[in-house]
Amino acid sequence: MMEITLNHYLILSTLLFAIGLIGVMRRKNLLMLFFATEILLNSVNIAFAAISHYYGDLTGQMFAFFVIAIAASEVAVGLGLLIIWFKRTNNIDLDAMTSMRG
Amino acid sequence: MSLFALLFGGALVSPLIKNMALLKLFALLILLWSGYALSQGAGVGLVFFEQSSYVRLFEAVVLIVSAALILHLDKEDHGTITQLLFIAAASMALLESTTLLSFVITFEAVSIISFVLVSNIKDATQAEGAIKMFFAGALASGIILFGLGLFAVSGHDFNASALSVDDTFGMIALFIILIGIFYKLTIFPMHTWAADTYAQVSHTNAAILSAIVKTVVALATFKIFMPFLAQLGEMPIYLLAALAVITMTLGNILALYQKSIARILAYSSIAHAGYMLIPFAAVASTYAPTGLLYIAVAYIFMQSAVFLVLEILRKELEIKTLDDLKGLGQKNPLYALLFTVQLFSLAGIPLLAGFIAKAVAFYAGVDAGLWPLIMIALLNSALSVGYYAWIVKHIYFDEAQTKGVITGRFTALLGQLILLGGTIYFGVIAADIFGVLS
Amino acid sequence: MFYLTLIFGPLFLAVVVYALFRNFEGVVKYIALALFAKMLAASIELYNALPAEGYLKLGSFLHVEAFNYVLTLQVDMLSVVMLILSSLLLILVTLSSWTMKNQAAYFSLLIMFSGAIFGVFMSTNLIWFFIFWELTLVPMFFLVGIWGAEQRVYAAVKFFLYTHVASMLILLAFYLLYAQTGFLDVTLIKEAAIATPALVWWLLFLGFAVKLPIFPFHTWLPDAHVQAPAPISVLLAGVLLKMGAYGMIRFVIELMPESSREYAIYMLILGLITAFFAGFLAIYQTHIKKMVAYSSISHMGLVMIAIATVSYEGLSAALYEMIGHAFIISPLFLIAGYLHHKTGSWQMGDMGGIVQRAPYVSAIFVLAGMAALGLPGTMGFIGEITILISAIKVNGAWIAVIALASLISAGYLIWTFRRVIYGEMSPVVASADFKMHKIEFSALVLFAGLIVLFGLYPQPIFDAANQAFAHFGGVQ
Repeated sequence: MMEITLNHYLILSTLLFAIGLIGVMRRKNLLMLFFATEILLNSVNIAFAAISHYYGDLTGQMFAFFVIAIAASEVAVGLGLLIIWFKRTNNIDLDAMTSMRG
Repeated sequence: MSLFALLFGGALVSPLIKNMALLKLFALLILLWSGYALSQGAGVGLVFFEQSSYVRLFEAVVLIVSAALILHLDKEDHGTITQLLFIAAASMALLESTTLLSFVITFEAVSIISFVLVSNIKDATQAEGAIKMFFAGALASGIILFGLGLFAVSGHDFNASALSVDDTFGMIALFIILIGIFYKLTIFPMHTWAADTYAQVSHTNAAILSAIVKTVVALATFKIFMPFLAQLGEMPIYLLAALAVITMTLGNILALYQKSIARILAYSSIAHAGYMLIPFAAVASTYAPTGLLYIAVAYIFMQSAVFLVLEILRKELEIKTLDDLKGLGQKNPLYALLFTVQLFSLAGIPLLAGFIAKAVAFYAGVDAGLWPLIMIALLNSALSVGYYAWIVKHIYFDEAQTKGVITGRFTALLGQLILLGGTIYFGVIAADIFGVLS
Repeated sequence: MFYLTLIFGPLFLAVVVYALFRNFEGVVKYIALALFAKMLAASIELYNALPAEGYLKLGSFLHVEAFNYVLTLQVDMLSVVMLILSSLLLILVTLSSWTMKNQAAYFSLLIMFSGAIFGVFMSTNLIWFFIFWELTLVPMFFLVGIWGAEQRVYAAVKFFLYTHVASMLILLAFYLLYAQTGFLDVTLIKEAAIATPALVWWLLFLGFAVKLPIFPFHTWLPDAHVQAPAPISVLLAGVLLKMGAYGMIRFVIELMPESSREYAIYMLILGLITAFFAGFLAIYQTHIKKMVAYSSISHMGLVMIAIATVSYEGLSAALYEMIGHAFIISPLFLIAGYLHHKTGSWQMGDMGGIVQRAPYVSAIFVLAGMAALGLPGTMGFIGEITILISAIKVNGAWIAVIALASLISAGYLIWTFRRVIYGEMSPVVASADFKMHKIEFSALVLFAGLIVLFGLYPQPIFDAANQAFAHFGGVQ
């Protein structure tokens, strides 16, 4: 059986990051954008945990905890914003944001 | 007393005070106390944080500008005071952070509080600006953390001192982190959210975002990444220089085409981000840290002042576009003068802080051998005079339209005078800023 | 310290005066007049106190070691002559603006300008020189933009942008000088005598050429001159253009005589083109103030030719012509503005027979015009003849073609006299009221007196010029 190395984790993390990035760029639905940013942050968590494990440095895990906290507070603030937006416009589509262009 | 604990504690207590006048007084006292503590040598006082004379001056400036901002606030801005105190606390921590870990954590803290700040919305336009900023910020967080991971892989360690940019991998990691940070600094091509957000959120919030948050992030980033930037080869430095040139040119040219004053100021903010990037590219020069500090100090005063004047004008006279400004000079000479002086400072007219800040920052570029970059920057600065002078033209040269007179509260005027004092003081006397590094 | 207050005092005073006397407008012009008289007295005091050679140190302030950023105030004869000229012109401008509308703001801006202009001529630190240099733009921008004629906004913004872009070239050149020598003070850079790259020379030359102005960078000036109110046109021609010539002599010739001699031919060619091109354009004008504006540019071309000789004689001639130009062009601008004010027209075709209605003003116009075309006994003659002699000495006899420039100006000026002053009285002139305020008229008389005085007795100016350029190293 193949041994799982740091590189495998990093590739997984990079793939997830790419998925998140593309999601943020391409999605039009604001909720989907949210999911994409969550994937973005959590892909980084995987990398941190793996690096920390393989190099025997606990700082990485500490980082991962902080990232989880950051992601949580971002969700709290962001969802709040989204709800306000939805109440005002009855819409969660990115294309509706056209009051200013240019 | 720790500076951070003082401001943070003040922010936590502030929602308990319901009376706006009392709350303002309380916040001012907290800032005054922080200022006193700062003068006694107090810093954040935690592990991973260390105060140097370089950041101490800027911390004092942030406290002063925060006080001026609080003097401007109205009844409906109740929440803003709390968030401003939080931002001040997090800014102190961000400025003093010494490791990548503490830098990233406090950077995120500043971001998240600024998301909360822009959530104080009154209409759908402001919500739109807030959401744009939120997604840009979340994306930036992800990119910074990803870059940090790569950085750690290249150095086999999270300890900043062990990291290096000698190999290509480390350099790519560094640039990924910088790209994330450049989202906050509104550097091309990460600037797209900024013009909308600064113009759409309330002008007070735009003042906080584009003046305080931006300069604090720029200064802290420079402080943390200076050792890495100094190791970069020619190509990456040219890349930074190119980003600076594109950002300032784009900001200035787009500003020329705007009708709304807030959007002109938003694009001028983007252009100034380009100027702030010059010391990053000119890191080889001994003038780079001074240049960045100077441009940050000058910018925080003048940018917050113009947005706050604009808020007064909007609130009292419904002034939004250039045409609304016509005849302001005849009807409201005081506010017209305040606005004009700060605009001239932004344009880089001498004896105001904006000029000498640019002069020092640009000299750092020449000192580092990047004179073509400085040539373009100087021409950009001349181009920017075009739209600043155009605003002034509407204020003074056009026939007055029927407009009321600004009654203006005394406290707001006091806040403006504080900011004006900063702009003029640092425009004439440079010894304080140069003294920081010697 | 006293000299520091001469610079920063007016800057503060401008704000204070405007704040206090906004509602008592009549007082402000007396304050301005008193201040400018004080400044003239201080400049003359400096003239007497100057050592036979070199600079007189007036002190240095606001030290910042790290950037060599020190406000050093030093004067030599060249700057003292400019100080006397500027303060004298400011007094005359104040007199001729006696009936200007919205006086509180107008004279506050003039006061602010006076502080900045003293800073320009007194500071030898490059950055501080640049600071004051730029600062002069701000009051000018408002003076042209608020009190100007129909197209004033366009002219003000164009003036601001053009000269600001030129300033940027100068700043870059200063940066490069500092990076190379490690000094920011003119005297120290000169002592260091380090070979400067061609780039620095070109940047400085182009930067000052816009202000001078030299073809093809002159296009801002006709607009600014024509749209500005007449007293401000005087300030533009008499002080602002002289700043360009001063910068050209001080930073291009004095700092880099070697490069200047190497590129002298370009300076000469551009000067020649300016003198002739502007002269031809003046012929085609029917707009009286535009005619005067192009005549002014043509004369500055002569100054450029004199500077391009890079010789003591040439520089002395340039200094003389700079002063002469200020005294000769100013009454022409003032009278052009006055005629427009009275007849309501800019077109020379609408005028005619002015001499019958306003004989004294016409006499001064003719005198200044004759001086502009080089009538012996006036400043114009000595200026042009010394330029011609010094240019022939350096460049050879062919340069005598510049006498043709004089001929061209004779053409358009005499034709102008025919059309405007003499000739048939036009209906517009017949119905106009040519009353002029006594104090404004006294300014015109003073100008006329100065033209004749220094035309007959030029020695003081040449003595001053000898002293000013004696310590210029590297000039033949």
